[in-house]
Amino acid sequence: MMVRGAWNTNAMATAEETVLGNGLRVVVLPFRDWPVTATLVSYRAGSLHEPDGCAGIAHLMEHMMFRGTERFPGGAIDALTARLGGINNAVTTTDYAAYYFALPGAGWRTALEIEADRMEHCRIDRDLLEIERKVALEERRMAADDPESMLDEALDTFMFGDHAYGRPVIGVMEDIARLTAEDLRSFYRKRYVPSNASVIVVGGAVANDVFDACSMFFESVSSGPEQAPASVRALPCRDGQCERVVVDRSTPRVALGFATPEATHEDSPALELLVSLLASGRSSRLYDRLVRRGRLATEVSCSRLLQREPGIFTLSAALHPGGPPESATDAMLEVLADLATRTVSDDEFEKARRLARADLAAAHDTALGAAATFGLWEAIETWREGLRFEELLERVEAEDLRHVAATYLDRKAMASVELHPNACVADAGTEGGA
Amino acid sequence: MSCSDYPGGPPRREVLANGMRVLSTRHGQSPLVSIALSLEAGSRFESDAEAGLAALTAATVIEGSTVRAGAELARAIDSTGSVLDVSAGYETAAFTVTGLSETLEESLALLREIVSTPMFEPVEFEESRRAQLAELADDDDDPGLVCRRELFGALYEGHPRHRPSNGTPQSIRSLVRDDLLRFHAAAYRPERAVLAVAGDCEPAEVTRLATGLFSSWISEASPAPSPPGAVPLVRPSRRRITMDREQSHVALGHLSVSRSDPRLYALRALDVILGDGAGFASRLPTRLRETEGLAYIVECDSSSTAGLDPGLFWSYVATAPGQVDRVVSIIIDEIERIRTVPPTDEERDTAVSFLLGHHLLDRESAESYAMRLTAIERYGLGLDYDSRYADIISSIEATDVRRAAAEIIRPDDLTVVVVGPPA
Repeated sequence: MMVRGAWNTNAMATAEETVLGNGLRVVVLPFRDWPVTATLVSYRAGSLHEPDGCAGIAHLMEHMMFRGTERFPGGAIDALTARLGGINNAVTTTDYAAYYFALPGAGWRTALEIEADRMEHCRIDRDLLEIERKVALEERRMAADDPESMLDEALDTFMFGDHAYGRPVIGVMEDIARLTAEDLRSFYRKRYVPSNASVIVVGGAVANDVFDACSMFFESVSSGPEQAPASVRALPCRDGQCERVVVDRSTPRVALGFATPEATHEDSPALELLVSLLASGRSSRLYDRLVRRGRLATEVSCSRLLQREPGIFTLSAALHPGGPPESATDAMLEVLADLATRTVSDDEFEKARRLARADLAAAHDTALGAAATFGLWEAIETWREGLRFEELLERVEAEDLRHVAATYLDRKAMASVELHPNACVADAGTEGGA
Repeated sequence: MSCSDYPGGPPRREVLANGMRVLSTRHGQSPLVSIALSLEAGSRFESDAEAGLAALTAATVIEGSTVRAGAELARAIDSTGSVLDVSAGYETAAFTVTGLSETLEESLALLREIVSTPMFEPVEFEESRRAQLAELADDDDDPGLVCRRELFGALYEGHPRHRPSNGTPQSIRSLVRDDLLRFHAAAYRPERAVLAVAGDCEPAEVTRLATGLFSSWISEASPAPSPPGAVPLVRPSRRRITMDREQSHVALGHLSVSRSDPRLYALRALDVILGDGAGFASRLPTRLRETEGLAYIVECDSSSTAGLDPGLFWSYVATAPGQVDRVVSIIIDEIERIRTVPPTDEERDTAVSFLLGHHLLDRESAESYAMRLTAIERYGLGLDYDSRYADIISSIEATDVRRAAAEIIRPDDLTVVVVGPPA
C-alpha cells in the first residue's frame, strides 16, 4: 500500500512481476480503488535496433501496428478503444517502441487481448504500407518545420555521427521512401517477440487477474529468435566543436551536448539532480544566468534521456531576436565551470532534490504516467533498476554534483549547435572548439 | 457503459467573506497536490489598443511582490519543490502550483503573495515586455499558429477574441506600467477568483488554510472591466498567407455556440463522430489519414472553444503543399456528409461511451482535477456536476446529435485559411 502525506521513495516497490514460459515479462502496479487502468507493451525495438540504411523503420513499424490483424483489422483498434471510453497510442524512442492504452473499468482485458494478437499477427500489407509511408513522411516534414526539433536533431546528428543515437527516430526521407514490406516483416519477426517485450499494467486492475489474463492471451505466442545485442559504434569525440546552421526564423537557438553514461551507471542519479539544479524553476542556475541576469534568453532547458547506452546531456536556450548565440554558449559554459569547481550550498542542493522528488511524483500521478516509467526501465534493463535509481537519488550528496559536473560536462566532451536567423548571418559551417 | 468514479467524493466548497470561492477534494495516488487559482482576468477584458495586457500582467505578477524581489520570490517557490505555471488566456489568468503535499501551506501563502501584492518593478515590467515581444516574433515563424490565429482573426472580427491573447508588437510596445497597475486593480480581485486544490490533501484543512491566508485580501474599489458584447456576424472569406515551409496548414470554420447552449453536449458527441475525438476512428481522420494518408494531424471540433462567448466549429490539418486543395475539399465533403448522412445510432453509442470514459481520464491527474474544479465553479455547473455528468451524457440521443449537426454546421459559411509555400 502506498504511504500518503509523506514522500515515499518506494512508490515503484509495490509492483509485482511474473515471467511467462515464452520469456514475456509482466509487471503490475496496483492503484487502490482506481477506476482507470493503463496497459503498456514495451518492445526493445527502437532506432537503436535498426539495420543500416533503414532509418525510420522502427517508427514506421509502430504505424503498421495500428493497421491491425485479421482479428482486429484496420480501424478496429481505435473503434474498440473509443467504445471502451479510453485512449490508445504509441511512442518510438531510440531504445524501444511502447504501445499503450488507458481505459476505464475492466477495459484493460481487451487491450491485452489486442496486444497479444498484434504481437504475433500484425498485417504488413503493401497497400497499407504505402498509406502509412505517406503519413510518416508528413510527420517527417512537420518535424523539419519545427525549430526545436530541428535543433535537437542537428545536435544528435553532429554529436553522435554514425552511432545509432545520431539517427533521427522519425527516420530520414530517403530511407522512409525506400523501406519495403519485407524490410518491415523482417524487423517485426525479429523484434516483436515475447522474449524482447514487457507488458506493464498500472491502475485499478488486481495483479493476479492481470497475470491470469496474460497467461491466457500471451502464453501461446512463440518466444521468437534470441536477441543479439544491438551493435553500437563508438561515440565520436567532437572536442568542443560547434555547428552553425542558418535558418529562416527570428529566434536564435543554441544547444550544447555532452557525452554522459548510460541510465544504469552509478553517476546517473547525480546527473539527474544536476538537471533539476540547472533548469528546474525560475531560480535555477541556467534561468538565473541567461534569462534573469543575463537577459540573453527567453527560455532555457536541460535534459538527459535515461537510455540503455551512453548518451547525451543537453543544455539549450532560445534567445531574444538579434541575440548572438555565442553569448548564450559562453554563459552556459560559465555556469557549468562554476558547478565543476564549487560545491553547491545545502539550501540549493535541497531545492534541487525537492524539485526532482516532485517531478517523480508527478510522473506517477496517472496510471499511464507510471506505466511509461516502468516501460522505459524495462527497455533499459528491468523496472527494478528504476527502483534502485529512485533509491539512489535519495543518497546523492552535494559533492556528487560537483564531481559529475567536473567529470562529464567538460568542453572537451562537448558538441554544440547554433541556429542563426538568416537575417543576422551570411554564412554557416562548423567551427573548431574555442 | 457505466464506470465507477474516483474514491474522493464530491468537492468541498467555501465562499470567503471577501467573495473568493474555494474548492477542494482529495484525489490521486501520489503524495502530490495541485493548486489552481483562476481569475476573471483574461484578454476578454482588454480593448484593441491594449491587446496583450492580460498576458503581460500575468507574466509580470510573478516577477516580484511588495515582500520580495523577483529572484527571491522565484527561489522561495522553487524551494518548496513546486512548479508554478502561469497562463493568461481568453477568459482567465490561471496560476497553478503543483508539488509535494508537505509544502501545501507554503505554496498557498506564496500564491496569495503573488496575486495580491505584486510590485510591478519597472525593470521587471520591461523584461516581461521584451519576453512577450520575443514570443510574438517566434509565433510569427510558426505556420500552424499563424493559420489558427488568422482564422480566429477573421471569424471574431469586431470582437476581443479576434486578437491573439499575447497581443501584437504594436500594442505591447505601447503599454506602460500604469496599464498593468490599473488592470491588476480591476481584475485581480477576490470576488473574481476561484481557488481549487486537488490531490493528497484534507479538504477541511484546505479550507482552514485558505481562510487564514486569503480572507485578508481586500481590494480597493476599482471599476470592474466590462465583458465584451455579442460576436458580430461576418461573411465567409478565403485567405492565403505565404510562408516557405515543408508543409502547408489549413484551418477552416465558422462560429459555433457558447458553453451555456443546451446543444453543447450533443455537439461533444458530434465531435467524437466527426472530429479527432476517438483516435482515428472518427469520420474525418479516417478519411484523411487512414484512407488517404494525407496528414499526420487532423483536428475538427465544435465544442472545445465554447465558453462564456461562442466558440468555433473548426478544423485544422497540416499536409504536403501539393495536397491543399484535395484536403480542403475532403474536409468540406465530410462536413456536408455529417448533415446528409447523419450520425447513426451506433456512432451515437460509441460517442457516449467515449465521453463517459474520458470523463474519468480527463481528470486523473491532480492538476487536471484542480483546473476542472475552477471551470465547474466559474461556469456555475454545481458541486454535483461530476456525479450528474454520466446522466447528462447518457441521455444524449442520436436525434439530438443529428439536430445539433443540422442547426449548427453550415458548410456554405466556412472561412478558409491556408498558410504555406506558394501554390
